[in-house]
Amino acid sequence: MKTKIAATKSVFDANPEKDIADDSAHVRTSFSPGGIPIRFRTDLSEFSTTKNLATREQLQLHLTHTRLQLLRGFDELLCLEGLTGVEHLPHQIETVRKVMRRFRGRVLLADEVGLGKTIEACLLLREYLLRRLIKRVLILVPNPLVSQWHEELSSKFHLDFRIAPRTATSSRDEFWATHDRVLVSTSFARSGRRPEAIAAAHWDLVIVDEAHHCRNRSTKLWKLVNSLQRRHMFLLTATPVQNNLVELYSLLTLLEPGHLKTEADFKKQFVTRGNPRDPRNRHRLRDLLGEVMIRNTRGLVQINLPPRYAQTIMATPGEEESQLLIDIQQYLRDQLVTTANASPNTDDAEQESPEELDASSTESAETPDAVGWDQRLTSRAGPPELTSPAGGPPLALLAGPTLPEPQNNEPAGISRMRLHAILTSIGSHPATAAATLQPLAERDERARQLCERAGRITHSAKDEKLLQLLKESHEHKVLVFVASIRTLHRLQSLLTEAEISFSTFSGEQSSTDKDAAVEQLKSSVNVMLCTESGGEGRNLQFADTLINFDLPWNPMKIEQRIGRIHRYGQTQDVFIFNLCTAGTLESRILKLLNDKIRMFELVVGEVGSILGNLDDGQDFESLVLQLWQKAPDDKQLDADFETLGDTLLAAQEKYLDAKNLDEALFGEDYE
Amino acid sequence: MSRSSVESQLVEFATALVENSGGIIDWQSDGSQATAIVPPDLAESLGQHHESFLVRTQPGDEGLVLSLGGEFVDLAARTLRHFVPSVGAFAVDDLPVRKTEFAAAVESSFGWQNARAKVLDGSVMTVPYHAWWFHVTLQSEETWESLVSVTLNARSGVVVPLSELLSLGDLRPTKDAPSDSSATLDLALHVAEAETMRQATPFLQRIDARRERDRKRLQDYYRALQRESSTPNKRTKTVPTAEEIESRQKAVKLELQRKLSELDERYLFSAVLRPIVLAEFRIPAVAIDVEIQRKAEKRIFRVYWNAMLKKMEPMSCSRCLRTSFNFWFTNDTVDPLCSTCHGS
Repeated sequence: MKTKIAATKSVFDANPEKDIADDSAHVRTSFSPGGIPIRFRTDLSEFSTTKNLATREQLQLHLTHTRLQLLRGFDELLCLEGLTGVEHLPHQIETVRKVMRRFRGRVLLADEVGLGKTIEACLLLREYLLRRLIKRVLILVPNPLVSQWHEELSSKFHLDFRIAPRTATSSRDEFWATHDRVLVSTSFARSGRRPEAIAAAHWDLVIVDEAHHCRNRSTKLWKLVNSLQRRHMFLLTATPVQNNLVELYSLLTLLEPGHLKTEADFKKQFVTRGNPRDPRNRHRLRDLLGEVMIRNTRGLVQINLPPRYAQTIMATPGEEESQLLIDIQQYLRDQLVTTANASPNTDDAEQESPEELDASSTESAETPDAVGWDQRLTSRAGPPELTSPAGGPPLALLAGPTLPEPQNNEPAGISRMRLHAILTSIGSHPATAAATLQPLAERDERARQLCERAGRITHSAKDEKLLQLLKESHEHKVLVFVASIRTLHRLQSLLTEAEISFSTFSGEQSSTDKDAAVEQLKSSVNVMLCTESGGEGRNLQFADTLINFDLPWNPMKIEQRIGRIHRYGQTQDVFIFNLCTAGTLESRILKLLNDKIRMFELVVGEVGSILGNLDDGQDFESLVLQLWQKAPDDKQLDADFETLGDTLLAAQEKYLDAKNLDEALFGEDYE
Repeated sequence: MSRSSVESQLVEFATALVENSGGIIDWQSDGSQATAIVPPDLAESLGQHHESFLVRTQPGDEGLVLSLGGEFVDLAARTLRHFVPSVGAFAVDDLPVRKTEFAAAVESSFGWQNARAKVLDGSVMTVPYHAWWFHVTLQSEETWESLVSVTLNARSGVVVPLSELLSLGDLRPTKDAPSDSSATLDLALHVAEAETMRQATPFLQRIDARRERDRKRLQDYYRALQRESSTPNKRTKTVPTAEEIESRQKAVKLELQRKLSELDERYLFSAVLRPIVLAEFRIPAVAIDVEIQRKAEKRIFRVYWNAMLKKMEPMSCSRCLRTSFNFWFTNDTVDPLCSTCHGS
């Protein structure tokens, strides 16, 4: 260490009351271990002496104040303790520190897709809450992402948020004033009387996900966000500029009004005349953006994942299994017709709670909002209006010919959640379908027969394909994902019979058992059977092969599965196999995701950006369910899926267009 | 309602601040808010319009809100500066000190190389010790902060390992102003800088790594541009001449140098040490003179037996100022050198 001490003046000179501020600054130079110069300076401006001597308590008061200043400095983050399944990366921690210190809680988080903007925002949220810097938080996200956010906030960050109910309650001021943590979809928040009610409340922090939807100042959403009373705000988007630079101006005006002066000034200074996508004075613009925006890129944070390869393996069912699939779907369609024509006062309606369904069907039953478990299947009326992205077909036209309109307040014979559970169970395994049909079988002879037939199929077409695949992959570490705990149990028997060693990781197990399962996979077996919770928070990068034995309808969940092994720290090429039974809804979903948007080739995180472009709509699962409900036959269903595919494709093209533009705008030059 | 640790600290601090600045504060039984009554100048310093105002732990429109995120900490800094002195003087009495047998203590504690030492007389006296606290801020692309304290013997300038003196039970405030502190401030700053470097090592390494990463990124980018300088123009398909290639490569090289220079400027550290508090502690000690003779030259050094530490204090190296008990003498002025400086 090279240090030179310069001369200093006396602190206690002839006049003890003299403030010894300005004339005592001394500069010395040292070097960091890596050779960066460190200029040391002494600042005496705040240290003054008086005739009065301090008591011990008074001196301690000064020291306590400094300690509080240090706490404010955010060098030690409180948010990192007690997280579940969050693998925070260095750039995320760096971002949290920056936002706390430099940005004072007002920032546009514009990381490239897949680098964890949501984690950054949630870490920040937790840090602010733990420090009691905030109390009231509003999170606005596109509808398809609501359940994902809710689940992650709860399970990973242990933060309970209230999802704004789809009732009249949420139009009242009291709801927003009395709930301190609310999660709401942007489309719901901006409609009806809700904007006024939300704006009437005071918020300590507002988080807006996929904030590029606020790019236009004439939209309801921009006006809503602008009208919110808030102290801090995080805007999250990977593509802040979709069409032109003025959108960036609009976004940043939400964060720091006046930061980019007026729109006319902004255009004059930073936009090339005749080309609204081409910036002028890039360096000045970069400096200004750097004060309110953080953008981590893959190049910058050096996360380069090895390639991944996906393959769909279509299992053709035998005659018995094939006929069963057809008959169960026909049975469900008939139930819908019965329901739609049922008397308003019928007592036959199936009354069941999500808990009951949880017990009877899937381990990871969807959150209530995902498929609207409280809604009865009362009609084949069109799905709620869904605005498609520019260029895509209107989603309201997706429905085929509709069945008779239901009467108001009509009770249902089968719940949406039951329908969803049965349809997904068919796609999973006949044994699972049998278990899911069981509650209906107790009061319906036709359901009982179906149940019996399903139970008789001991080996499904997918079983054979799985065994074959596992035998071919004996040199790889393989995760086999299933959506249902019953399917998991079935596969346990199957692999045991086939004498294939495996470990099991499911939500039923204790943390110790889960750790043991991972350790087993690492050291002694090559296969691990997992439910959706599979390996969250555990390092599974030593595995390189993933088999989706069944397919969740929610693409975000599929992406989560992939993300378990295709993530930071993975060094080998990753192989994904999707097993699918021909003729099921899963086969259609897979075709849609694979053929249309080539989902399995996308970077983790991009699916969310694409679905986020369906900002006015329902979540993807509800959409699929409604397509099935509305289609009278397979031909119509194929046509509807084709239309949905075109809509997704348009959403993807919109995303890619914006991504390319943003890369050009904020690439090397911004970093 | 239970308070978080930070909230409790804020409440305790605000209460003490108001009371030590001439005001009174009365907390409600649930601890959520208090009423403060203060003199007008204190109210103004705390950013309040009235002499009576609410103090809250939760955000609200009126009153003084205790939070780390708002302006409270800054208002408190201003108030402390104006209303609460930051220099104190205390005495530590009743420590037993014996004048006898110090020759043996000196001999067993110190090692004198290349010289002969003779312990002269020892005398019991009260020695001032200066405890300085500094708020240290290191700023680069990020900020690192710490509170660093240094305690020195104000007579010898030697750093002594005495901490937590402020929490001693039998401290007696004195009415006499502290002895001249200019020399101890200089020494304390020097020691605080070294301590800052030690404490901030992980931070410094992190910033070093980030700068290296950014440098590498720039170098990779401009090297790629260098490589491309000889490729034909994509539109016109014309192949550049040797002069053109050389000119392009020179331009790229210059641009890289400029970018790297900008980068280095951005990562430069600026460290600020702000003295927060000075406390003088008068502690009984025995001053012992030791005569050091190297060849024909003699010099007398004074060393101290500290009644609180109950052992000898070290001496400072004449070159690096580090403290030590083992010294080499190599010149005619009989300057003591520590083993590091002697070896270098």
